[in-house]
Amino acid sequence: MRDRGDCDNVTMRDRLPDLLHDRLAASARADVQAHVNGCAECRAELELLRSVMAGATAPRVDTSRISAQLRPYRRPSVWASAAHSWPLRAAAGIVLLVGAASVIRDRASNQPDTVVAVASSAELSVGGLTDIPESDLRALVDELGKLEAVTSSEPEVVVVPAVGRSSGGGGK
Amino acid sequence: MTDPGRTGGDPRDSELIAAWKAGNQRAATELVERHASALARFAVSSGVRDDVDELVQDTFVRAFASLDGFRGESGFRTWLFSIERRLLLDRRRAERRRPAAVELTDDAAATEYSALDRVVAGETRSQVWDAIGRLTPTQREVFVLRVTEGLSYKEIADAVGTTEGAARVHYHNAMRTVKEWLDA
Repeated sequence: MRDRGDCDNVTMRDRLPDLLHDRLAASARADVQAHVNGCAECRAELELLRSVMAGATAPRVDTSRISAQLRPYRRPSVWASAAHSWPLRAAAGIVLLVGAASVIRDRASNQPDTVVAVASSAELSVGGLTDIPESDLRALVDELGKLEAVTSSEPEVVVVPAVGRSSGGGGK
Repeated sequence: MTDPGRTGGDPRDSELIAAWKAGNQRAATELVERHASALARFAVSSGVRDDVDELVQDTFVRAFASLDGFRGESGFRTWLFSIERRLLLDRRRAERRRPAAVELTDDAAATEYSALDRVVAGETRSQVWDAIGRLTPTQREVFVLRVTEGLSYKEIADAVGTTEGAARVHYHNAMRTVKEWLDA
């Protein structure tokens, strides 16, 4: 190996291993070969690459022994496949979200006052108090006041005084 | 252009993989025969001195066990190199934990290669491979994959777990080091 300087044409130098392994298209191969023919540095580098290839040793490997270790292919189970399927994962996520939303809605429907109050306050915050005329604002506050007075949807427990029992007991 | 996954009129790697999945065990044997030498060469070039056979076997066993995870974005051989490299790193980590093990760091690369020379008694190593022994592990991997296996920078990046640009830089740094060593 003689002249081991570096050619300035990095593109050509980059392609030398590809030339060695015949991994260039015909036109590119002709270009690189023409460059190498006129470039002492690239010829020396190509010679160096050839000596690397020639010196690369591969110990003999017992391929039949390796092949014997390989188990026949086993198709993954449906569940394993499903676990790796993005569309199915997305569908499962949507089902989960819808389910969670319906549970929350069911629970919320048992507390109508709270929902209405929350919705009203949300509307207020979205619209902004400055956009509402004073008269409407007063009406809205009155409405909110009435909401607090609305009875719960669940009937109250009525406690019946045990008047009859005490009088009956006294008769014995 | 030469496709490492195909020689002459032989079937492509992807075709052999499909045949193996369809129950043709012979297809697996053909894939092993096609790529075993390259894996052994890469192992030796990376400084492995013991149990190259075992490393190559483990690579194939692991590859075939997880072949459903191979999406074909890189070549089959490139994918095998990446598996072998991970096994190699695991092995080095295990050796590092052993008290008498030689720690394989970038600084220790030359020492480790000298040890290899002592083990392989009587074998005459070329000046060039002595120079390659001076490279850092990453430089050596990139250089070997580029020169002896003819992988593109993109393929090397996939195998080594780096970027195409970094692979190019490693290659040129390695080439400069080799030339300097030969000229010294």
